[in-house]
Amino acid sequence: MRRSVQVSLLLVGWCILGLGLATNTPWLPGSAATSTACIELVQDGGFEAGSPAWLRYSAQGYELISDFNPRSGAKSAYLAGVNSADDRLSQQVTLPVGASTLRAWWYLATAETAGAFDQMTVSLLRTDGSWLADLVTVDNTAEVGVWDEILVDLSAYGGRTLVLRFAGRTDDTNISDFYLDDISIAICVADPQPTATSTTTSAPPSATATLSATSVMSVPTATMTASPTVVTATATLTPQWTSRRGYLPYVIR
Amino acid sequence: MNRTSIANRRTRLVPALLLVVMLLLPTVPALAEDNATYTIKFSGVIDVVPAAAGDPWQVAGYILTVGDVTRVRPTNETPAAGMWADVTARRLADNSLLALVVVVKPPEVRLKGPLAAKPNDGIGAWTIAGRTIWFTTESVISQRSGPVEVGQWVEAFAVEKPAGTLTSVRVRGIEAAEDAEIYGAIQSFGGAQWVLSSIPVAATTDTLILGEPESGLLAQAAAELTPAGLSARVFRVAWQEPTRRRQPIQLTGLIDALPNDSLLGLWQVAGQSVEVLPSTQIFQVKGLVQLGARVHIVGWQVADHLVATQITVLASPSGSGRQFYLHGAIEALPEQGLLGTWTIDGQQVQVTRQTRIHGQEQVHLGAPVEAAGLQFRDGVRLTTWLRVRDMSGPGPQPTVTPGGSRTPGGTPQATGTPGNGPQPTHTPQPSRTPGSGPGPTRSLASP
Repeated sequence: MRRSVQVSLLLVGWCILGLGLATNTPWLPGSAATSTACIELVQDGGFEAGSPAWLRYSAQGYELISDFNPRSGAKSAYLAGVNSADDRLSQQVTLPVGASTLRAWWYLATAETAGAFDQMTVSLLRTDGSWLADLVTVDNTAEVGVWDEILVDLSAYGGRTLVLRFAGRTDDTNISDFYLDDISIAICVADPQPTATSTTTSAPPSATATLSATSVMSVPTATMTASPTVVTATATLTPQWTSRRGYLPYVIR
Repeated sequence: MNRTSIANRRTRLVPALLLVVMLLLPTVPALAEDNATYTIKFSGVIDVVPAAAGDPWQVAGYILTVGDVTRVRPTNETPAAGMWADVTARRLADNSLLALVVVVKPPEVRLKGPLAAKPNDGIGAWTIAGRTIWFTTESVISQRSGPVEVGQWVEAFAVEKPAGTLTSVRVRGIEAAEDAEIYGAIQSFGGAQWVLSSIPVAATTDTLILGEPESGLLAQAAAELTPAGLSARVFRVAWQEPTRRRQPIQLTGLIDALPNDSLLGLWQVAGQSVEVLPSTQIFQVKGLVQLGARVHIVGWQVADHLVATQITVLASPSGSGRQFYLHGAIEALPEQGLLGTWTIDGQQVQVTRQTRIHGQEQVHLGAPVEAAGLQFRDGVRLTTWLRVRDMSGPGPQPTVTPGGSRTPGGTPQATGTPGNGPQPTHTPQPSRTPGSGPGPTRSLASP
């Protein structure tokens, strides 16, 4: 009974997401008539719900969810922003067997003028809190003032329950701010005749917010893998993390 | 030949071969692109968004054809004319541009500078870096990085309204800097003045212009705030093309030699001669300019040396200290010259050859100055830059004062004390209130 409810929720979620994707600008690469639908494994990835799903730690006691610089909606995560910062956001996720991809948008502001002194690291921890892997590290040498997307292939961690952590750290001079928004690990189901997509252009998974995150999170891995329509990955996803870091080499801060 | 000599020969051969390969490498892409293409990068205002797939873009007046290789990345909104774009394109043999990546971003003007005035309730006209920025109930303020108070430095993110006014989306406190900064779209340029997103910035004979300005391109200005307004030390135009002059070069190394009496002139860094101009930005926060300091330099190559546009000290033998920033009237000066102990608003600071003094000819007792530098463990405050100027700053005054609040940027005060704000204080670390952001402060267990 419970499984059938969960499956129903998944189907409703796919339908909602499908409708959401269908509203994109049609000529944008990757958005045209895609029929891939996804469910969302990250709870409150847009930080709109007051972030009860996120465990927050700030060495200097700062509130890490802020309305100062959202990418979408009204809130985003705001890490660092002070000297000697040590700020962390984390959430437990259960990854299905097979492919899954972490997507997150981040934005940099910094007073640093050269050298990599301040970083934000995306890591996976075991549920006992021990470190498992650093997935991505971005730093103050990236382009400022632009939301950039992080993509990480998580397929190597499929079938495990882990803690996803974002940590912002700064040294003792020249402050950097790291903003995060629209964090997503979406498990996508392809249409029988999927439309080819060829870019990393993302559609913010706003529609997934309507899903019951708790229900989605509680879906056993077996449920996910049992479905014959679950795809291992959309062909568009980059196997390693990507970013526009270094994309514009002239430094405009 | 014994094994050792073979190894030695290999040891010599490998670098030699590597050198040959490195020398040849640059010619490979050059040959490949000879008949066809090379990549350029620029940022500008979107003039035309394609109406249908396959239609061209137009950014900063440039037509960008699209193809299978074109990728469009809207960062948070659907692209529209008037938004800004970071473009990577291929210059084709017929001189046309094929878009490779178009990153669309909101048209947010960024302005860093001292906050000279703001209404009591925060709604209405603020004066930042001498410019009027309008704040509404929707403008968001963050004091995490520093206090947003009169007399302190802030960074405002604003959108330009059709009337040429700037309305702030958000503002945050920042650490004081030697130059004000403006990042916006070039609306006019040339002669003695540029206009970036409605902000006029003077260009002088000392102003360094990096890149070739064109209307619609984005640019950054690092500028001094003078009684006459913003005066640029550097304009950086957001255009990179390998065929253009002054290609940026970066160098990191130790300082081997410095000029005798000031920071201007020829330095020796990692065996290279580096020319430092009045327009060169020098950042001494991680350490001081001194022999043995490790520095990162951006500049361009001339015949036998590098001309520096920006120098950052990464580390120095003296170590780093705590940053301080103060402003107020000069109360005491050295008996001879400018090097020695100064008293500014009751606080003693050291001025050395590592100090860049702006407005040197205006130095006199009672003159208003702002100064910043590093305070070391022994309590000594070494000033890294010092500027003679009035904190209230110049700039056009708003004709309307919403809510009956005071007129921003009022009459400059003789003491240089900023407006009605707090009295200048020594702030080695800008005071910050944890949890001053929205919502209650929380400190949870470390995950």
